[in-house]
Amino acid sequence: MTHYLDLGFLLCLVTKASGSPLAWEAVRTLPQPLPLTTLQALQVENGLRKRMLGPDPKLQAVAARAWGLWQFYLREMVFALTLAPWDAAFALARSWNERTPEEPPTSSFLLHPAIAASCGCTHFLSFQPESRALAAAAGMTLLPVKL
Amino acid sequence: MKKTASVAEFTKQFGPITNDLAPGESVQVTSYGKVHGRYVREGMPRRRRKFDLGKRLAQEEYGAEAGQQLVDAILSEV
Repeated sequence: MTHYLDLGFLLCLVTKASGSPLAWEAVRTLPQPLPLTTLQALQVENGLRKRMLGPDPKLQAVAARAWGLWQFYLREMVFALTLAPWDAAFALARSWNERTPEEPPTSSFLLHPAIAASCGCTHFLSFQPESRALAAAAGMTLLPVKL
Repeated sequence: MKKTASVAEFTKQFGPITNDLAPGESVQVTSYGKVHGRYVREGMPRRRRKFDLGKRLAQEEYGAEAGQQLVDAILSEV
């Protein structure tokens, strides 16, 4: 795995949102399937299922469309699950959590760049400023280049 | 992409040399100018035809504002 897509970025590939055009552009030239870890898949699937079964009819409808697209992409091997060195990733996320001089980001925003770094990724695809800062400090190239 | 590397290059620059290899692609490792072995990248086969994610998503009938609400709602809970 050379390119890591965090949760918000992945959601923009299965949901038509403001970041979607930038997300499409960033992955357009990457080989498919795009490798994903089980954490990324779980977070996407849990988030979508919660909204599909939640009280807001508008979100239910959009989440159902996104769920269909997500399942389609998995079947068509646009995305494919891959392994990750979980112990190393969690250890790195914990160390970042202890080292941040200010209030640390939530665990998920720590964990995604930590997984990417542990997998040896060269690029980190994210719209999340906190995660992007950690990934950049770990030496990864950020996509999109600017937010 | 470089397809041949000396043992010294390969061990010192493992990441840069192997990260760009596609599954099934290989690098010849040489020792004193002679082929010593071959490193083959493991992994999933590539799709034969790439899927245009943007084109597919553009067909959705809901607006980007509704989609952004969904993304924001999910991200607010992780």
